[in-house]
Amino acid sequence: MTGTLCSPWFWISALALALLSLFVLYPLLNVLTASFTGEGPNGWSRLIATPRYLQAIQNTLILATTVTVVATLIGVPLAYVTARYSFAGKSLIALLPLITLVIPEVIAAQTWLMMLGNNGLITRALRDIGIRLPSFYGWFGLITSMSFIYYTYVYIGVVAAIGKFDAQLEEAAQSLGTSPARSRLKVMVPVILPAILASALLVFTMTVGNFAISMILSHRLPLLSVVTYQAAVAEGASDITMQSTLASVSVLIVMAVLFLNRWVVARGRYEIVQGRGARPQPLRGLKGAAVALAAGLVVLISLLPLISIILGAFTQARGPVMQWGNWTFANLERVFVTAPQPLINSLTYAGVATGLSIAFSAIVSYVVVKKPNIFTPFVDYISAVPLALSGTVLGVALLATFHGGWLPLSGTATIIVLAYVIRRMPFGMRNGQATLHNIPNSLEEASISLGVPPVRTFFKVVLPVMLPAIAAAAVLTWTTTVAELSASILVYSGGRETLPIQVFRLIDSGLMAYASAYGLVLVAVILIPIIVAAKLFRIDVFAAK
Amino acid sequence: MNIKPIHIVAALTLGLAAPALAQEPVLYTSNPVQAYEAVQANVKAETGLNLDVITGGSGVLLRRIEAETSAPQGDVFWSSSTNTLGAFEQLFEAYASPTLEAMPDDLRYPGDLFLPANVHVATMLVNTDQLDGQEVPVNWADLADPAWSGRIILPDPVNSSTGYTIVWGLSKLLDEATYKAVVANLVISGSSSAVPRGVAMGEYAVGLTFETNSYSYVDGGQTELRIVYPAEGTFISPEYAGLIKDAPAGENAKKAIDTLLSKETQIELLKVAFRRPSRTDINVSDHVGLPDIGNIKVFAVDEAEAAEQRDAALAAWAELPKAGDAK
Amino acid sequence: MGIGIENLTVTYGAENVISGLSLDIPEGCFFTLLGPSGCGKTTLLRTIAGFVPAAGGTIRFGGQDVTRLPPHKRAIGMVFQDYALFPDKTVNQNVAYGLHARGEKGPTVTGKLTEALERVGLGHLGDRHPAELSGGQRQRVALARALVIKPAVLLMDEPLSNLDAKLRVQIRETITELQRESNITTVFVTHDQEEALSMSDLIGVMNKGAVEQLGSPQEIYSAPRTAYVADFVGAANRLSTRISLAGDGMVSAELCGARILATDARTGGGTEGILILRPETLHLSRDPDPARQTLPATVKSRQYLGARTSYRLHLAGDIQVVADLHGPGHDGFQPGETVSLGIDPSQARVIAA
Repeated sequence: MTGTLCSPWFWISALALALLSLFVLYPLLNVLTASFTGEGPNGWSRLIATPRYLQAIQNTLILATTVTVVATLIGVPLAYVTARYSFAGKSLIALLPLITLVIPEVIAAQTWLMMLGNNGLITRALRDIGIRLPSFYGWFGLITSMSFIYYTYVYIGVVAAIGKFDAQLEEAAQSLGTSPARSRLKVMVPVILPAILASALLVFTMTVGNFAISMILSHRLPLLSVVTYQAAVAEGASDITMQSTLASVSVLIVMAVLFLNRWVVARGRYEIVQGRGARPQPLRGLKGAAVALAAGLVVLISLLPLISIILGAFTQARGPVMQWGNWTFANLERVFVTAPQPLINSLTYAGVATGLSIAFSAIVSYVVVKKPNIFTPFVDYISAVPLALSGTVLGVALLATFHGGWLPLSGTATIIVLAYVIRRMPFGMRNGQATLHNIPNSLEEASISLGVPPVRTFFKVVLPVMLPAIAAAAVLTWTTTVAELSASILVYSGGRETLPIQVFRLIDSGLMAYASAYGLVLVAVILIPIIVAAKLFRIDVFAAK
Repeated sequence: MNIKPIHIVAALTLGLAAPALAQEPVLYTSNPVQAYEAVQANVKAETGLNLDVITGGSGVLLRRIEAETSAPQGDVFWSSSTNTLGAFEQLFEAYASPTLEAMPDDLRYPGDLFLPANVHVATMLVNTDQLDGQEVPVNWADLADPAWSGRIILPDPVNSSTGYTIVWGLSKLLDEATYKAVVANLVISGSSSAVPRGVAMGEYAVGLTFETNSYSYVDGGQTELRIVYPAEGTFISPEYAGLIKDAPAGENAKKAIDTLLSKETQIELLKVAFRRPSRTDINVSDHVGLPDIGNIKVFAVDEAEAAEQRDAALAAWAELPKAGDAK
Repeated sequence: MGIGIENLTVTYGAENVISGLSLDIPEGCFFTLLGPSGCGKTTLLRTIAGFVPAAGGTIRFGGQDVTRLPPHKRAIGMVFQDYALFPDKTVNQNVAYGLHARGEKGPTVTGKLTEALERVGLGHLGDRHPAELSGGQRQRVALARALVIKPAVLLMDEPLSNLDAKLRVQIRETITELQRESNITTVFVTHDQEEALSMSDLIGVMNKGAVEQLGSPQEIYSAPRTAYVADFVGAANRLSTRISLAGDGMVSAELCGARILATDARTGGGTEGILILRPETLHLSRDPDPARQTLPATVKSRQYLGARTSYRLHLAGDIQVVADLHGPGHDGFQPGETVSLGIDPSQARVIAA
């Protein structure tokens, strides 16, 4: 129809599809096909012939499943008591989501070692009373540290769902004669299950893709992300067979889980019933104290890394050795004066990436939701593909694709920004689509019926209504982009280090004091926009998740 | 040289346009921040040039240089020992730096294709708080005692030249039974820097690593740490710098090498990064608490043979049971 | 200006939602599209508005063919079920929105704005945001916003369905008044027969994408031409019957072994028909009324509704009929009683089966 060709939305969706194909699909296909082509025997036969790789896949699956279960077991009860009860120190729990987002994983892993490593505080204390903990390297450490980082994603997702859950349903079940505990199970669980599943899925994929903690804590235990990285080190970029094969395995695992999740959700026909949320009940006495203590403990454990980087940032060090108790500003001076490039880089790249990602997701999700055409389903699917890609996989794919040829991007700042945008854009898209589904079509039609053409209507009516959600998404994109490590560490080049890369490098060089200083500045860079958004614009950043 | 986890970056950036200004020299190195920052500072002071640094594992960087041969992006390479460099000679050009006069002949590379920049010495880093009743080991063979099982950490020889140098040396120095017993006690670390850090944190009682990595913790004031140069003799490995063929920075690249090998820079590297100089005109013990090379018993190994048999040696190594194995 | 629809076809995928519909809505007419959900009434309205493209046929506003004109150029005013007020804008900004779009500025806008808000009785709420208004107030703002631009046609999509019963009556009056005053041709979509009957000049009852009957409220109610219309507009007893002509526009219909006289409202001939009996046109007496034609019946159950009583009756041959009685003594019959059901020939209508 000539009508569609004239429509600007048609061209926008075509452009979006072209960009997504070039920067998401093409690199991904490059990696997937490289596992078959390449020099020598193809990657898959080498994979099957190498017990270490098979072991890595098995371990990764076991780890991801266990971490998902443990994180859910911590996150859901915490979300429930927070949403339904008020108790002493509850406001502290509101800090939880921030904590995970702002603490670089490397630092978290290091802190865990200080507590539970062979010479950790807790390990030693327990050894003194005759209890020997298993070595923190390997399963114990991986499961503990990842669970205590990732449970917050479950918490954030589920607390919102419980908050919106219509308490009348629970009352209705009770009025029909089921006990309160059973009513909860029977009525609430099915309703909040999609939220639990969605966040569990997120935890699973993040565990599969985890790079920093796996590197530090896995030691001899082969894990997919670590062997992928090691294959990449061994192969370089000229022959990418094995790294591509292993990257493909991780993509396949995540895809399988995504489909499983979709299938479960689709079968259940779950729908979040929005209604009168329950008012938090005050908990007092022994029960209140117990809940406050348990919740407080979880928060405290999550906060430990933050405390350690604050102390570390102001502590004098000689080489790798911290002189605890001797304070200094020298470390921060290095961040701001002597070597400020990582800070400048982070601000620049993350700023540009946030702007691009938000603009892209606002406009494209609008087209997908409100102006569907022949391209939009593809735009929708492909824009979700990066969710299945770990940072390592994305980094491998971008470098393999853009290291030469007609679009040589490697070694430039563009490829870092590109990696940021691709990794975080799906969240912006999801957020944009959710917001747009809540904006009735009639709003636009009202504007059009009043004589304002469609494109101007988008800017005059739709965009202003989306604005609070966009602002929240922008802050969230910023925080996660600034903290991005696993893809950028693959694509950066000399002089383009970002704060997380610098922290990782410094920890690797054993320079904890400098690492803490850069880490602290990173935390500040992440926190300031969140606080400003919350205080100045009353934007609840985590509503956008 | 240590191939560090973070250096994957370069593995994947083959054929990239290096982001350097035309005349400023670019250094490719796997060495840590403290070391290359000292060099950067001295290059700036001596020549006024800004030395740009690309970091990465040494093997990775060498492959990158190989991929860039048609349009080289780097000027100077500073990493690696003979056993790694041998295969990449064609990427470099000889440079008869005036600083070579101060280098001992036995460290010089045939034809001066590479220039000796440091000497690494393998050591045991011992945390005396973690001995649990054991004596501080003085011989490599002492580590064969099953009491050490799971308490000794070594960088993975597959990824790290430090690890390989030590494993190769031990396999030559010790009889087979003792060697296997030592290996059975080892925990393997994927990250080289995790070795001294692990010992310093008390995670492990003994770490096998080069003195440059160990000593920074001793220097930092951790008095419970002891550096042991085993009495049977230890292994040394010179680290080289090389001028990349057709280096775009031209004369500036040579200036950077001269500065790297100058007495001032070598002393600075010794002081901040505890890298033992290759020059004969520096007394190590004058500057840091490390013994002069003359006071260390060295067990000579054939680096050429080590390089040649690397694959076979690593395959044999992979078969041996170790303490850190996943069950 | 009037609306002329000719041979209109609307497709959704491969399916024809509306095929070959023709309709003329005279200028100044309050026209209602009445029908259950899914009958195509909203699709027709949205096609008139231009939000749904016509696959075939033409739509004219006045004499002008607007079929290919995008909605923002059609000079329509539209009122939506969910009000569709811009949540980020004040009442004033909402109402002035269309005026600004037309390039109007300054005092003209202020003047028109004040007048429009006065007319819906909201002059004092101009600075509020929609969230601070009640449902009724919101719908008044929406009305003012659609009318202030003096549209060629006013389109309303179930504008009253989100309001409670009392408000609905109030707004109904406001809408009728404003429409009469402005004399803007109006298309009003509803599934509520009471709204349709009370507000409209002309009603089109829609079924499966076609207008099944077009007529004044009185015609639609008292002279439904199909069982569907009779059923949808008001309650009706529908009884299959065999008929024979009785002359003078009357037929004789067979019912429970008896024959009763009824008005012939069939479009064609034949011997099969459906007898339509509106419950409120039926009479009940204890004894057969010699002045009427009656049938014997038994009271099965009754519902007392205050102003009237609704009786469920059983006729011979297991036929059920509902009769509503008004006036004094309407609640005088008890379940189980045997009664006479009186049928007025002019109120009993036979339509084609």
